Amino acid sequence: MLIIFGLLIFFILLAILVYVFGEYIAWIYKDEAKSKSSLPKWLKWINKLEKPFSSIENMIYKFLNLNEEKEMNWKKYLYSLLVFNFLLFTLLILIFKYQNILPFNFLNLEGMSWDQAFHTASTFVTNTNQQHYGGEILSTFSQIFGVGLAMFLSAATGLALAPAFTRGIQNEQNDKLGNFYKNVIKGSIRFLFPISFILGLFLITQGSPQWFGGEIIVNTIEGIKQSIRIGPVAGVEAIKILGTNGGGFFAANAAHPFENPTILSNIVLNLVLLASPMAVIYAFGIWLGKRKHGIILISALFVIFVALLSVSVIGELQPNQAFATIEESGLSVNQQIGNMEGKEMRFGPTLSALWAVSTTSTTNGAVNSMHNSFTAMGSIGPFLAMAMNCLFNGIGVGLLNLMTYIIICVFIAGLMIGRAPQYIGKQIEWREVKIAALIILLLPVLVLLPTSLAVITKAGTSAMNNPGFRGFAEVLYEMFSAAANNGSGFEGLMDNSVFYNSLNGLIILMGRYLPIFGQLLIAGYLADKKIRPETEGTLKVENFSFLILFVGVMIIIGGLIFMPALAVGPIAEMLGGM
Amino acid sequence: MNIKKNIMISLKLIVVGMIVFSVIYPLLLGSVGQIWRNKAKGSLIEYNGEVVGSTLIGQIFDESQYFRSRPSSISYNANKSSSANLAPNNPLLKERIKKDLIEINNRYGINKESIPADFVTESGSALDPHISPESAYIQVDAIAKATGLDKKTIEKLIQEHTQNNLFGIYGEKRVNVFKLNLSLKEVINK
Repeated sequence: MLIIFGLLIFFILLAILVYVFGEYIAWIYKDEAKSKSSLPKWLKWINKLEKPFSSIENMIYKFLNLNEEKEMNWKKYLYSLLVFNFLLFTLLILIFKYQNILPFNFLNLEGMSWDQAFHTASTFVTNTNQQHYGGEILSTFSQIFGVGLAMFLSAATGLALAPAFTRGIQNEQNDKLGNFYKNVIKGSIRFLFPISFILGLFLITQGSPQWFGGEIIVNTIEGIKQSIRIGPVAGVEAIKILGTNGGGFFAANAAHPFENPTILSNIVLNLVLLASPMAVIYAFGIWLGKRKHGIILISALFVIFVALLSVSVIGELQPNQAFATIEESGLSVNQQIGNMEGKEMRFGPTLSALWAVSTTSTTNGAVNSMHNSFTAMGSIGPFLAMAMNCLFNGIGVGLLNLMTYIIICVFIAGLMIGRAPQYIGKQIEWREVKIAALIILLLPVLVLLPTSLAVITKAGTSAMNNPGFRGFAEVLYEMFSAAANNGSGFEGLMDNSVFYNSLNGLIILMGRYLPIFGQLLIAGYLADKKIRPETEGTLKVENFSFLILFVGVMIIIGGLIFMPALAVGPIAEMLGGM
Repeated sequence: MNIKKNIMISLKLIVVGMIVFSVIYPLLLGSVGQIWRNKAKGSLIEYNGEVVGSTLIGQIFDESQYFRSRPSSISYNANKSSSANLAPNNPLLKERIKKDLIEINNRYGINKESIPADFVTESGSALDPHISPESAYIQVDAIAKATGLDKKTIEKLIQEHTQNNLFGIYGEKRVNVFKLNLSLKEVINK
């Protein structure tokens, strides 16, 4: 009962945070997304921030020699995004490879190998943050000029896509989607920087260090030498959670006491982690002048989220099966609390399961417990959440992935009622449906083919950390995590090899840029169309039946594609295999 | 599409990003963070003028007069982190637990059913400073014997160091083993 009560309070706090973040993001891009509604009365004071923010931004525009009023069509928008990301990607490879000769390398750490630098750069430039290394092997320079910088800029890249896609729906026969650079700058100066700063300060009050040094050596109470790694943790942690990044400063990620020191910090981080991608979806509704539509979309996703969450919480409140055979030999342990392997004492099973499903429903990928030590049932939540890849997802790109499903949903609805499918005044035609279907089919291709390759090669199977179905699940999870740009892992898989580094690096890049290509193309098509007036026969998107329809489409299309693969992994393990 | 112009703008934008997010942001945070100087520096604690550890990072305790921490595959050496990631179906996990249980039974000679799960499982970070209050109480007899202290004194110490869960609904009750042992050391050295 207490657990349900606690979760209810959590969801209420989440709703408030999504509302505030959502209104704020909608305000930031009100012109860029041609917003049809404005701030609610009690938040009108936000308008006063316009002047200071725009003076900073104007300075940056000037320095860049950028004509920020010049708008781009979908091709130019995509092109600018790719050039910007490619340069960042190159920079990251060089930083990680040559960190040994760069400054602030307090512990004389070595540079990464080329394959690992390639994987690490591809994962941070795409907002994925899958780590084939323990965070401890990075120098302070790599953490703030490599990881930290990429966390801000990749999140800003994602965020900049949301208003651009919205223009596709708002425009009347006008192919301009906005200025990419302007959107990146506005998103990072107005949203990512200030909110991260506040969150970072809060983390310091909880005990997260912000210190420029490599390590502290202490003599413990028993007089043993203990070396404690330290660094500017709080700052990286804040943007890692806010920007749906997820890459840990330490190998243990948010399970590490320096990244996530208290129960309170855990609750706040978990709220922010969910709220930032959800807020963009809410902002979408505001831009359209249909706040209720945003709420309906979030509710639909939330229904699935709660279902997966329940499975995982119940799974983790079960005892760990490893104790079963031990009990036969006469030893026994009190496991009333649930499965504690791989979990922090301060969080316990419930908060660990809540975080696990949150981090996989978004594309954050930070972990506060080790997913690989979850019970088979507990691991189903994170697995399915990633497989659907259409829950709250990444900041900004989450909205685009959602739209891909919406197009399929509207198309199916159109077939059912026998009318030409239409979404918010725009007719959906075969071109859009075809692209959306291809984007959805991309995920199984990027997950299942590499998984098959890994399980039939020595390079793939020798990396497994656990035996049996769990070993297969480790590989499957790794590929999901790469393709869905999530970044969490069934850690323990020995994935720092040329095989996994190059394979996963390629999957990650394709999993990020191919869908963005398709989605901007859809936005371009939509922008060119006439706006049709809503009539009696138009599909209503602000009511309960739309919610049901959308949930159904997501489960059938998003969830069922992977059933066979999941059946060989966690489901087989749960049904009593090994 | 002018490629030269695009590259110049992107490069400059990355430079701006470095100045704002890699220089101003961490430094500003670090400076304002000086208000909580001790926390920003890693919550270090001194004993007799010497730094003995961080309240947030667990330590390994082998000597019989101290409370023990949870198992850790990296022996609480905090230049690394993260557990061994053993799944419930892994024979290695069963072996580890069994070995620990036999040792605990020998050392504490307690009722087998009262060994709490957290005491024989590894935490996610393998640096967990906490154990459950129950895991602390099962060690009282042995510690009283090793230190010659009154059981009540030790139990009182545990009570003082027991932290509640948040608002009564989030997280678990716990005891910080590092802080508990530091108080214990003070009592012993009195």
